[in-house]
Parts: sequence; C-alpha cells; structure tokens
Amino acid sequence: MAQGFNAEFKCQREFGWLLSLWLFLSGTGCALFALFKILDLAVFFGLLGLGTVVLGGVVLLLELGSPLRAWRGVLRIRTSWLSRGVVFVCFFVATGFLSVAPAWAPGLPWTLSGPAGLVLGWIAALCALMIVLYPGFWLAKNRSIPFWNTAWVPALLVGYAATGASALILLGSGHWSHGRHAYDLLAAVLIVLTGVLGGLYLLAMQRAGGAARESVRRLNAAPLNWTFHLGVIGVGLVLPLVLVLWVPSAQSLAAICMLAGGLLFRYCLLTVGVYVPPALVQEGIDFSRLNRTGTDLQREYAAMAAQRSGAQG
Amino acid sequence: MALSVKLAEGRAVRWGVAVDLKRCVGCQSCTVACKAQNGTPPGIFWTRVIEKEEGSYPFAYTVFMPLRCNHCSEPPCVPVCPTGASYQRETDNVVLVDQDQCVGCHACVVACPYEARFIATSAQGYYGKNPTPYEQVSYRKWQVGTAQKCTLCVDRLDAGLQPVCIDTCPTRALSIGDLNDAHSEISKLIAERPRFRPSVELGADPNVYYLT
Repeated sequence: MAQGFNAEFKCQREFGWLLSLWLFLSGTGCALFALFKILDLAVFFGLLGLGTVVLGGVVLLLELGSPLRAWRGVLRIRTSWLSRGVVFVCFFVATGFLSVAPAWAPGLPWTLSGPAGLVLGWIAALCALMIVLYPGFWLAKNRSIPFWNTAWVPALLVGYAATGASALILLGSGHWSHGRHAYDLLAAVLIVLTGVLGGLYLLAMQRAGGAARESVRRLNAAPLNWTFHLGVIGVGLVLPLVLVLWVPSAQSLAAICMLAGGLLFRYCLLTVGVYVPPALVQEGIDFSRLNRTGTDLQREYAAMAAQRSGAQG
Repeated sequence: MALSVKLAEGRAVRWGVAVDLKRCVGCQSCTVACKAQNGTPPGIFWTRVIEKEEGSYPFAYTVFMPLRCNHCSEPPCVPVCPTGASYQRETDNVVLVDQDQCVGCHACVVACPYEARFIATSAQGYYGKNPTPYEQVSYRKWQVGTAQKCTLCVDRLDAGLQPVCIDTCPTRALSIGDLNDAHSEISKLIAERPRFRPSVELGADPNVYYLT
C-alpha cells in the first residue's frame, strides 16, 4: 500500500506475463503468416500462424477483467488502437482461414493459387502486418511511460515478431519445407537486425534521461538483470546466432532459444515501464530557507527581536 | 458545504481543483473521506496524499502532495478505451467510467499519467470473506474487473455540493470551482498565487492546480 504514497519512480503493475504472452503469440503468429505468403511456404506454416494468433486471442481474453464483454472492443476504432486491433484480428482470422481452407476442403469454389485465394491470402497478410504493428502503436501512444512512448517500440516489436516467425520456420522446415539453409540465413539476419535495433533503442532511452533512463537502469538491476542479460541477450540473441551460423545440427535448439528470448523481451519491455513521476518541484517555495544554520537562525531571531523592540519603543 | 458556482447559459463548466501546498499537512483526511464516501476496495485510493522526504538531517523535511484524477481537458485515458466505457461529460470536464461497458483491458490505467485509475481484482472487503454491512452497501457502486476512478463526487456536484475530499479538508487546502469563469474564487486564487500543474508537458491539460 505504501508504494502508492510516495513520489519515487514507479513501474506500471498492470501488464505482466499474460500480456507478454499475448504480444508474443499474436506478433509471432502474424509474422509467420506474412512470411508464409511472401516466401510461398507450405500451407502448414499458414495454419500454424493462424493457430498461434487465435491462441494469443484466448490469452488476451484471460487478461481482460470482464472477458464476456470482449465484443465491445470494436466500438471505438476512431480513437483506440486496441479497438482497431480487434477489427484487424477478426479480418485476419476470417480471411486467413478462408485463404488456406482449400488445402483440406477441395470442394470449395476457390483454390489456394486461384485469384480469389490469392486475394484472400494477401488481405490476411496485410491484416497480419497491422496486427504486428498495432500493439507497438498502442504502447507508443502512452505519454505517461517514456520508455514506450517512442517509435522504437513498434519497430522492435516488428523485429522480434519476424525473428520469432523465422524461428518457427526453422523448427518446421525439416518436415514441411526445403532449402533449410536459406532459412538459417534469414534467421541470422533477423537476429542481428533485432539486436542492433534493441541496442540503439536502449541507447536512445538512456540518453533521454528521466523515467526512460530509469527503465534502462531497472533492466540492468536486480531482479530483472538476469532475465534481461541472460534470457533476452544471451539465450535470445547471442546463442541462437552462434548456433544457426556454426552448428547446423542444433537449429531446433536455436529456434527454441529465439522463441524464449522473444517472450522474455516482451516481458522485460512491459515490466520496466516507468511512469513520469509527479513533479514535486514547488517553484514558489524557497526550500533553501530550511537549510539555514544555527548561526543564521540566531542572527535572524536577533534581527526580529530588535525590530519588535524598536516598534514597541 | 454548498458550491457557489453560477452556471452561465450555454457555457460548459470546467471544474478545477486548487491544492494549496502551503496549507496541506499530509493528514490524509481527504483519502479517508473519499474511501468512506465511495467505498473503494482495499488497496485502492481514488485520492491520496503522496509524500517525499527531502534534504538530510538536520535539515530534513517532508513535502506533501494530494494526488487525484485531474479531470483533464484532454484526458489520455478516454481515447485509448476500446469500448467507450471511459468518457467525459459534455456539460463539463468530469471524466467517468461506465462500468457496464468496461472490459477491464487496463489500457486506461496505464495511460493515466497520475495513476488515478484502478481495477479491483476482488470483491473481498477489509475484514476477510464476510463483508461488513457498510461494505455490502458501498461495494455495489463498482464491479470487479472493471476500471474505477475519482468521479469528483459527481452526484454531490450535481446536487450543488462540494466533493467530500474538499469538504473534509481541515486546513482548507483544497478548493473547487469553475475555471471557465474568470470571476470565480478558484480562478482568482490561481491567478494571484504561484502554481504548477504536474506532468502538464504530457499534453493532457490537467485541471488540478498546485499553489505554492
């Protein structure tokens, strides 16, 4: 309780593991679906992407205080990124499902590679791109938390979503696709890009000062330092980069590390969201007067006494 | 105490609160009065007096600052709401939550720079599973899993009364009035005293002024 009654830096405490898991699942799933369309991957990857996003939706429902009212989430698309996101997800699930449906239901009037199937697939891919982007826009709109209130956040979430998708492709490519070496390279490039992006982001936040700097400090201090250094950087970036480049037999392990790092990154990003503290800078109050020494006070009292006696005389 | 606000025809009221920091002694009377009036659940305080220790011995002192919803003119908590449950009244600037529409997504809680929004996760009162008669009545005012916040005692305001936190302040550090009326007591008070609005740079145009 006492935490709410002091004016120090405070982290938001609303978002934790559940929201991190939602960010991870929806971002990774949508990026996988987009890559499925762009790289013309096996239908399995499209279905895996769709399933991951649906699972993310279920996790988000668990996060809501009143999940039975979730349908109301589409009522404010004019102002709310969350509302827009719900619309994107609905369109994505509908068009994505219809676009891959001919793979197991050949009786449908459209095919996977026909014009209708292609249009549906690309609409779904566009929605997937928006689903990857909108949580970043939503977080970046929070002016009260400077660590999120930056264009770096959507860019980083896109980077991590693409990295997670490439990890899923690495995991599934042994069974469902050919040309695994190309996916190794894709994963390596995405890991490097995301790592560089993350480094620049932290540097920018460190230089921004105030609450943003405090967020960076908390990433590097207990209790989050092990999660960040070992989990996000070590297991999530360095180890998989080494494995995909130099240990071809450990690609699956690299993919699992990338996925774990992606989840931990989102957790770290959310939990170190420090509010701008209420300024207790009271410009009109001269606090320096409180720092008077005993001699100063004695002089002041003597002057006051002299003034009083002068007035009486 | 009754409000002395003259409502001009066709003009929206902009309720503002002035907090005289020279008078505030950090007694938390406003905190307790708000709790008693609104029956907020354990751990949730719609208004509270935060404190900060400054200096060091022998020149240590404590700064007090009553913190509450600022009923901002451009409230950042309203546009982020995906359902429209958070809204600002058209007749004035009071920001309210329609709990029947709220899905409990926490977006408004995080968006508020004053940490003045809360979501109760349990209907349990201060004394365990069996609520007191007072809690049984007062806990009907809010729903578990939905956002809740200071209403500026809107029912009292509409009845021409001051919010309880302002009514109860023993040092009269708090005052309320119409900021749109240049002749109102609060407008004069704010005009003649040094003042600041915390986090005003975030663009919410808050309506709580701290007089120093």
